Amino acid sequence: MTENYLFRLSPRKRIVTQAILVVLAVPYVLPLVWMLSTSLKCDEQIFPREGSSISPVSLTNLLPHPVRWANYPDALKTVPFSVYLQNTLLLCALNVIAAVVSSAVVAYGFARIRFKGREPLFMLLLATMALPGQVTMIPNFALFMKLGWYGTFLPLIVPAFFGSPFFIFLMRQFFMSLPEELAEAARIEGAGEWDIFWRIVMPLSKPVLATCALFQFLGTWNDFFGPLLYLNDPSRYTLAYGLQEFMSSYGGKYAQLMAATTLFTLPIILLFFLAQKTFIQGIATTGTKG
Amino acid sequence: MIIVLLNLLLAATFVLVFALPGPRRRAYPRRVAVRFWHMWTGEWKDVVDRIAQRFNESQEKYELIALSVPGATADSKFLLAVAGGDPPDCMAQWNQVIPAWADKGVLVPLDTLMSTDEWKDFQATAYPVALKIGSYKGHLYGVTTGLNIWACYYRPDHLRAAGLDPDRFPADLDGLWAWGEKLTRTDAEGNLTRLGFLPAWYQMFVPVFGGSFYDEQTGAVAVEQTGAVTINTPANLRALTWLADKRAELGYKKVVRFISSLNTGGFSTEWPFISGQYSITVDGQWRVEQLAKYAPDLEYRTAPIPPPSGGKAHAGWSNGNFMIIPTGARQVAGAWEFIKFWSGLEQPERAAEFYTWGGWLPLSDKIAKAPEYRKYLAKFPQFKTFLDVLPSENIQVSPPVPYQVFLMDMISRADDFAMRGTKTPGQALEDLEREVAQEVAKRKRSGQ
Repeated sequence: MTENYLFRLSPRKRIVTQAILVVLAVPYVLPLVWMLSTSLKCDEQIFPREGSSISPVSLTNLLPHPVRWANYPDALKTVPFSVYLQNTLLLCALNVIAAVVSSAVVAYGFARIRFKGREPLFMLLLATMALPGQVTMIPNFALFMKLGWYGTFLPLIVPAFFGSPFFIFLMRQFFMSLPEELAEAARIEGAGEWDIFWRIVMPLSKPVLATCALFQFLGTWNDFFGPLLYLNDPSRYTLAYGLQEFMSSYGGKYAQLMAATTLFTLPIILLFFLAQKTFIQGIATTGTKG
Repeated sequence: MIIVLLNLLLAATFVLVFALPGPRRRAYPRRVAVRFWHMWTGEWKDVVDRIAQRFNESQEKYELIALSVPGATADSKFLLAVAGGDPPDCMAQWNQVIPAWADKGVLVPLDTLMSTDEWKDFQATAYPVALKIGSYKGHLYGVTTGLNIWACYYRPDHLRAAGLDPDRFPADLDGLWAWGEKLTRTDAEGNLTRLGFLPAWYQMFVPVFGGSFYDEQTGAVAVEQTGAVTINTPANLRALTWLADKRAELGYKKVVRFISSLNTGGFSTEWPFISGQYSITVDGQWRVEQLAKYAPDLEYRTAPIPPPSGGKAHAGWSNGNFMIIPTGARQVAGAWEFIKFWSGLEQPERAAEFYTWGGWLPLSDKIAKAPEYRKYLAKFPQFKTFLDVLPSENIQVSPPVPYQVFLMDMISRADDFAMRGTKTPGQALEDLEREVAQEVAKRKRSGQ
């Protein structure tokens, strides 16, 4: 939409508009640039000595000089990055599959199947979104402990199989926007609800599914508190937890800390760039603003 | 497309499941597991792992399983585990949690695990400061495995260059200030380039001036019946006034500018004392080992903070790491075994070695006099100053009240107001008294 609007403008206006947008984007991009730049600096450049000609906040100091690539291997050596990455990816993959599929099934029910109490149930579901995590933390913990799941990955995976209220809401809105005639035609051809859901609704809902998948991936990738509370074995720790461990141990080593943070952030940035179009489409269609 | 993506994700998941290392295997699976959480990371974690290994080697019944829980997050994990009914058996934490957690009833009183004779022996032999910090309302809730004491570090090279005799360290605080003035350097524009001595940290200097924030006999900040708080005492006021006056003499903004320009990013190598930007500074005993490691050729000495006229010698503030046992722990006996092993309540000669591994100050004189600890002192002679100060009755701790964190924040704020000159020291202490009294009243109303 923005693209179309921009292309309708004269080249001059387009340049001005884009220049304004670039300027407005600077405050958002600057922390990222600073992180990347610091990750390649040596300590003398990060903390200029008293009397040094280098100003820590100047634009010229933003460029690493000299570039110290060794910060990356140094950062990777301090925590078992590959083990944490594997654990994180495993949790992300399972959570994405579980949350997207289970939420889609529930959302379809709320969007397309008429049953008694549907609206109050949906309201109840929405109400759970207002419940702060702190309220449910202790009962959840006690439940997982009784089930014998404490210290395993299960408390971090199984809840995703029960759907996410926000995703259900998002998907319900999307499913309701799909033409009912498609489902009617399928029913005439003898398709059951499951066939309609799986063969017609799901393929048409790629944008919203991708949006939910991305949200879930981000949530799991960045989740620090879940692993902190439920895991007691360093071989099961995740990247978010590992980053905290790194900060506790080597908080003063800014270059290495920023290198570790860059490595932690990079997959998310790549994922966003690759899925950008679908993601924005999903957000736009469901009317949700981030 | 969706199906293909889901299948790809599933395939990736299976690959990851098989590629992952299995859970950590126990070294002694037939023994009773004692779960121990601690807050150390990096090279400190290695020290803790070595101690855990030594404990396990000494045992036939228990296996200690140590888990490092990064600093600021450990409290949440611990409290949730207690509330959820599955806490660790033992935990090492900074002492400030003791009053708050003991008050909530989440800690086992450790004196109840001792026989009457053991408890009497502990009270008689543990350094007063270890007993003060570990106790709450008459019970012992934490046993230290490392105390912190602060003293003056000074550079003889700076002193000689300024015409001062390093062998005659000032015996009183005003003498130290006079030395600081002679050692301070500025550039042509009057900006500080070296701080001779910066008197700072109100909490540290209150005991030096003979003051206190609480009644050491009862452990109370406020009078129980009336809720009255007395912080604005003559000694406390004298300490804050002296600090504020000296800061004003140096120039508050100049000091802030100078400190901001220092690279104090956390590296041990970046301590401004090493780079020569401080000539005399007050710091903790752990710097001795760091200096040996990162600046082995630096000539330096240590001395207790000298008292002002009418003040107290060998005074200051202390904190440390303490071993606690949560209520609901499954292996209280195993945890207590480990605490005795590490702290030196049992076989102090053996435990002395553990204290030297971390450069920690010990629980009692028995450990300090053990051959291993003596060897350590011979290796690091500057460490002796801290050990000399340690037994002093004049070392104070943060008030053992459940609202300790609030109180210490308020004290820091009052300190900051006085240093900036936003409030006079008297006004800052009056306000502090009123705010603390309000908090006490609020807590009383809510039944805390």
